[in-house]
Amino acid sequence: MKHDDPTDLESRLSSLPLSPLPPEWKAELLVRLSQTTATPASVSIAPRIRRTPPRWLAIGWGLAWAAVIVLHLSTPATPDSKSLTDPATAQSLKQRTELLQSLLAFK
Amino acid sequence: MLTPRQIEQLYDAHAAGLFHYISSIVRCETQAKDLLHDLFLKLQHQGLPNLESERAWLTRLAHHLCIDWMRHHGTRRQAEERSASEPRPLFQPQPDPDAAEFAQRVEKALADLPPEQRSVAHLKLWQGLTFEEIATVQAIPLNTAASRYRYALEKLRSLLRPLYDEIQPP
Repeated sequence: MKHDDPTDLESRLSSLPLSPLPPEWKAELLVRLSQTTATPASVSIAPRIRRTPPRWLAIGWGLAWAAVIVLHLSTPATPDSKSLTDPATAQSLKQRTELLQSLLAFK
Repeated sequence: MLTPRQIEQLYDAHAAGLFHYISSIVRCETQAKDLLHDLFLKLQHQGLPNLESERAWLTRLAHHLCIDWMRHHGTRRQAEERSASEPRPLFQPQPDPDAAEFAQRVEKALADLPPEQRSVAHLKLWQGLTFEEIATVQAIPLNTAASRYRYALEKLRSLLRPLYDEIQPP
């Protein structure tokens, strides 16, 4: 059967003429072309070019800096001397010192 | 860089085909028109390399613009759902009622195809590209281009058969 022949259907389909574009579209494009020729800096495709980093990167960067600042502010500038004056720690240090001295004496 | 006259010549030769191809992807007349204009504006600065197939190269450029657009505006399906405006009719009005009916049914059947089959069918049937060119344009394997076209044609045949059988071939 002729209608089962793909080429028959293909030729019927491809013979359908595409609708033309409205002439005003072309006029509009020509105006835009003349504008961009006059002022190359104002090319309308410029907004397509990303000039700022992606949002996820900016947010991540901001959070990282916030964490750095928080850590910086919450960390004391000098080591905490309180722990050395703690009786338990002092006792432990004393024991270690004694042990070390006894070992050295033994040697 | 191309002169406005050269751009105009390219527009006259290819704009309608490119517009309908873009429209088959983005499914929105306004967006398709904007992308078409972007293409020619880009072309003005980029120029046209010395090529064997000008049409294939322009179609590839249009395809890339569509992909960029979809990356920024969601998937093809979302774009279709978002599209409020009716797409511009694909075919010229036909004086013969049977031919007009056939054209209308073809357009409807094309709209029912999956987007990737529709775009390949469009390139093959109305842009006249070869499978090699379609594969290059869409960055897909040659076999994929051929099989998408075959599936599209089979579906079109099944959708159009009742009417197609009634109409005598011209």
